[in-house]
Amino acid sequence: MGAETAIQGALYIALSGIGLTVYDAAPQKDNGGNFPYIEVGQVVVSEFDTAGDIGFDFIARIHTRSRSAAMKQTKDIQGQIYARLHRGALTITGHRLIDLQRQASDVTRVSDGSFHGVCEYRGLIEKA
Amino acid sequence: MAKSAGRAAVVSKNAVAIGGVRVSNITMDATPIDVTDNDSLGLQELLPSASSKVLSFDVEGVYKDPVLRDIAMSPGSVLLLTDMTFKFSDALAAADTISGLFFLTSYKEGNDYKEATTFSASFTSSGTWTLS
Repeated sequence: MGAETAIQGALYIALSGIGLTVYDAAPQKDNGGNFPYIEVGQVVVSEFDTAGDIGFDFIARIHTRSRSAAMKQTKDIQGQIYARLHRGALTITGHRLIDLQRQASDVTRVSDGSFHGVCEYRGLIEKA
Repeated sequence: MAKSAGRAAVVSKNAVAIGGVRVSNITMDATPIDVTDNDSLGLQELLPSASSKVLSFDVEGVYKDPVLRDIAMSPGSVLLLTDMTFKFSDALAAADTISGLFFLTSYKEGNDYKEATTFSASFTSSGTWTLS
């Protein structure tokens, strides 16, 4: 299993504990998924090697979608994600987590009236 | 001769590679004997041999291995090390590894709260060294 898949799986498992539906990519059908929900979304992976070891530096962009009347629900979900991920433990198959921290968090209103939250988490891992 | 990747260079202590290394450098410095005089026609003249010659190397990377920290931070530790080696990146069949007496002149760890802990260390030779 590559690092990309291992990171995706670890985030999926960690975020599933929140109790909302977690998607890799939300479906187009049924009007876009089971709101409110979390999308693991894009994970950008770059190398974090040393001379003798393989490592990865990744940014995971976690999306939150809500059709609540206000931003609060989205922000609450982002808070739950933060509680699970920021400086937390993440079991990544075949890798050891060095660090995981949130770098940014934002919520915007979408044209259909729903709310879209985006949080970016940066992680450093090395191959076990 | 072929090009070689920098990561293939290996700094070891007691035949075990120092972990976490990202960059290693090796430098030879020699101090010449200047014998320039009035007969030198304004050009510098140096003797063939150096007055002193020193070999230094340093490593830096992501902290992984306490071996150098233990030596550096222990108040009573001996800093003149007998078992350091520097293997060049081209891994020749012969004459690719430096060994000798090397003094640990500096050791540093960096702890940025958003990054992995980093380290660097420098060594300088005492006496002669071998290239084998």
